[in-house]
Amino acid sequence: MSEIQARDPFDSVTKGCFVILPGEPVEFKKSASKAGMYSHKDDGTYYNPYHREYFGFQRLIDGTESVETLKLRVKEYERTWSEMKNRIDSLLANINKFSIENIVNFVTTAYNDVHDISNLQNLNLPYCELPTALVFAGVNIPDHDVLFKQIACTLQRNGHAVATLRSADCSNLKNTISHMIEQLMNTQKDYEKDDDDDEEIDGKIVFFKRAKCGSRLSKYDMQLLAGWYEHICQTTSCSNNGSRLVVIIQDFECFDPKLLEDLNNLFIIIIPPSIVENSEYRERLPIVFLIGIATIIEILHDTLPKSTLSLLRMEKFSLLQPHQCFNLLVNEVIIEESKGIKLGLAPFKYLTDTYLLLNYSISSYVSKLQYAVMHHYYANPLSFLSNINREEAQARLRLLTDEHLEIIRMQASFRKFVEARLPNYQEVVKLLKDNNYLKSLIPGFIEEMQLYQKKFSIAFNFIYIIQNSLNEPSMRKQKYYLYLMALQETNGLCESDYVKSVVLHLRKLNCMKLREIVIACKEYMSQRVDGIVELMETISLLEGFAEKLGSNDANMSGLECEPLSIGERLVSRSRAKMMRNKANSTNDDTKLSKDVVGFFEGFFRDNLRHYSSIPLHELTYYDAVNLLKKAFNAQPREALQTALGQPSHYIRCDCCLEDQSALDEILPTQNDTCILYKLYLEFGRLINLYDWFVAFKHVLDKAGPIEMNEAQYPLRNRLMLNFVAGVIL
Amino acid sequence: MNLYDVSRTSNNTLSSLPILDQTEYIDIVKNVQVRHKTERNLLAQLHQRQFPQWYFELMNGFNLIFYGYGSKRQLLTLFAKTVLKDKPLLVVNGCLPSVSVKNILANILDSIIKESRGMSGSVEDHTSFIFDYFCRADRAIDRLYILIFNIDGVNLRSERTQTSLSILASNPNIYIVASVDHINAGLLYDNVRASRFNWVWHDITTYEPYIAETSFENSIMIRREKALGIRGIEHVLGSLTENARGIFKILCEHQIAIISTSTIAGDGHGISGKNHGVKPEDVGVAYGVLYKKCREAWLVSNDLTFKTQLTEFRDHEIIRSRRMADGTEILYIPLSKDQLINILDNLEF
Repeated sequence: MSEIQARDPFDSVTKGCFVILPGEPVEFKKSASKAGMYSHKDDGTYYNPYHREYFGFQRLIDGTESVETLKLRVKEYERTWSEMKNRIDSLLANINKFSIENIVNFVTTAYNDVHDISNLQNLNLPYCELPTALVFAGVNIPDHDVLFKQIACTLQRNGHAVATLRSADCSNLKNTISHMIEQLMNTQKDYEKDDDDDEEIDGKIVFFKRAKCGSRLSKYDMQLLAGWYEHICQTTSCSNNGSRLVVIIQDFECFDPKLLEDLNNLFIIIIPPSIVENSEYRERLPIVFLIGIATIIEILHDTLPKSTLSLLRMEKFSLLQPHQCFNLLVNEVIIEESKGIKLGLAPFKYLTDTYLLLNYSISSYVSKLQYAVMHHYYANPLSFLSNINREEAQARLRLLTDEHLEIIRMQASFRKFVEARLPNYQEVVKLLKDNNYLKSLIPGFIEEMQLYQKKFSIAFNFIYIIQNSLNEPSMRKQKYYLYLMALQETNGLCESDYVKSVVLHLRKLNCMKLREIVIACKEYMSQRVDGIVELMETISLLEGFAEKLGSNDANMSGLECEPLSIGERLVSRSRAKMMRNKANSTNDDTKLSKDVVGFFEGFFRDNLRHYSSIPLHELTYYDAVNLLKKAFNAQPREALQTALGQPSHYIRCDCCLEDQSALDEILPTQNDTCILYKLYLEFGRLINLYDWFVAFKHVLDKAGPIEMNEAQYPLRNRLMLNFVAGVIL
Repeated sequence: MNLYDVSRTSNNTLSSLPILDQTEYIDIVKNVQVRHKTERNLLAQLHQRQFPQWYFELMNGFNLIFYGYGSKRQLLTLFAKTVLKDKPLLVVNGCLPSVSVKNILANILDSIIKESRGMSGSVEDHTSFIFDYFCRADRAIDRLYILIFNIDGVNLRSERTQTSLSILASNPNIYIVASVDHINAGLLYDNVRASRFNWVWHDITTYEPYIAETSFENSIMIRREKALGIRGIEHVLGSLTENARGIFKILCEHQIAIISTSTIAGDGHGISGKNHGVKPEDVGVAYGVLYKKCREAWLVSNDLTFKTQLTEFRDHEIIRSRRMADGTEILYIPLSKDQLINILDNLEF
């Protein structure tokens, strides 16, 4: 066997793993037939000398790109992605702040009431309930790690000792307990060290471990923990007595139910004696459970027996649901931010679909987004112009070579731009021929894009504000859905039926409602204006509207109050008067509300244009969805079937490509496995190996005289067999 | 394939197929002509152009997985040699029947980290040790590349293995490059593992023959002198009754226990699995003892059924026997400890 296997250095019959340390030369045996195939040259076309220095970035434009722009692309990638990443991280950190605070609160106060009851009412309950927080963290388990780490950190900062148990680490009870004790004692130690930097305490603990218990306790003995906690309470001041021992069970569903039952019972067994027998140690081990549940509460009842459940004092905490999380993420990272790389329609739709329909996983969403950004900077030679401000753009103009400009001229958006200028013949020629003229336009394009995004996000949020204040539940749409709609409408969102009906509803509103909307819009806008003159004007316009609406409104409300203050007798008279007044003001009102609605309509029309209408949107919007799909939702079966069924897709050889029409015909020049695969497809449910063999031979015979001996057939058959075993098994 | 047709059977039988000898087979494999050589070269060269891109993806926290028809060994070896040469690299042959996750972890611990020679513990302990090591700021080795051929190999398919590998993969300083060939390889990864691995998939169809990968498979068309491999034994066991599997299991467990104790007594290799010192035939069980045990476990009721069962095993060469000097018959399974553990893990009893 060994003769045929010595084909590469990592092939061995006995050894499965090989370690190669850097600098250790690997001998690469080239068998004679392979010599030409993988010729190994260090500076060949495929092997880019820049690759390690620049993270594998290659020189684009057929390798003629200058190193300077290459470096810029690397730099820009790092900057853009780290900005986006930071934004996402801080968003995720804050997303559950409120719920986490609640949990911390629960933990801190968990034993207070027990204390109170027994003290005040002198109630000695024969049992003790374990305070338990049920944390509903959503179905997406992969994101839980971060979440629970966050909770654990917050708890530790509040002075509690925390142990996080994952099902992967806890195969049996012994294991679990030792794991837990280790974590609890460690955290406390670190916490103390940070606080008062007292070495003595550390020494005492070690001493205590041995002396207190007479002999050395094994590391999974609960006595160790109990003694340790007692020691901590003695050595530290009373203020520290609020610290609890928090045990987080992160993935409840994955735990062995028997183990959980034992664990719970263990704690319950340990605590009661300390309460009943010796009231001093009432708080000997203030353990609080935190159970992470991904599904529904019924799972708790299914897994734990009643006897255990009855000893848990449970409280529910639900963290943000995936839909809400996703909305926030899309809003913060994609819609509101005018910097960074944006997703075009197809990638946005793909990412949204995989999130909502497949896994609810924020982390996989983020990694797909990262891949899109990576690809944008890696493969787009113009990407060094993306996501920069005007001054930078001005400085980078000199790096633009003729090839770059040619690529710019090839962009679809540029073509649109030129076509719009067709009547002006002179300018079109200038655009297409004059490189300097084109260069001078580029900073303008870049600035226009950024302004567009800013205004788009403002107008977009206006719609969101309006739809929320309309009293129409059917009109309410989630932000990501609205955004998807905005990307889908190539004529601009304002042309969509949805926005038209929003405007229609707006018309029907009275002044008071309208005023609320205008004020909300104004407030939102003033947060985002960043000193752009054009937007300042819009704000003052909105202010004017609000004022006018306010004054009208005051009239109205004054009138409406009247009938209340006047006695019953006067009702009919006042109503008549009111009608008259109303008639007067209605004209003003309708005019005003017409103005306001007209303003909104115009604002939407101007600013909710589709991104493809902006020249050079290719610099900011990423559209290559196929690459994303291939990288994250690969179809190995499809690739395999294509490779075997239509080898010409991969191998474009002359011998097999003679006749396109006869695609189904099995050509003898094809790969053996392809032939066998096609024959296999022709067979029925059962395959007779001999028949298969004969058919295979027949196909090969068609090629005419065969220069191999009879014995080779079975061999080829054998190779095929292995393959079939791989495919079918 | 037409599954709905009435199946018509052929009159030809298997025996009419010409059968090859092992040596003949090797001869032919050596001399078999390669088709479409130039086109395949071109294909390989096109794939090679992506090397920098793959490196870029690795550096950005993704792990790479390759699929497509054809052996991917050579291309990936070249990738590892040219691009991943700056840091320690571990190459794993997933198609090898004796490879295991313990093996992989032991290699990382012993040959790369070198801080924990002779460390004992479970697979989970090792995994978390390695993970923690590559998170530490003061570690001696800042990055580790792992290249796994056929991460969907039979021995790497188990839950435990994949979980352990996925934990390693989720470390930002461990980079995994893997290849898959099984058409359903994607089913190995559930949501949790998939997100830990953070795979980026690449199609590298090469049309290279699967020679190294298939050399461990058995074929009915090749006569082998050797006994059945692990796969063969698993097949046979799968088709037997539950009681028969129980007998095998008892013998198997017994043998593992003996090997483990004698290994610890002999040399402290611990988990590295280097127990070549113990031969399978030294650790067998006497006929009478095994029979007694099986009866206690209610697997057989009388000597006759037990004998019948043993004959079946002997026919398939799963169990062998030899006579001691005093005439007692010793039964044993001619496999190493790792292989026995593997079989036990894979089979459902």
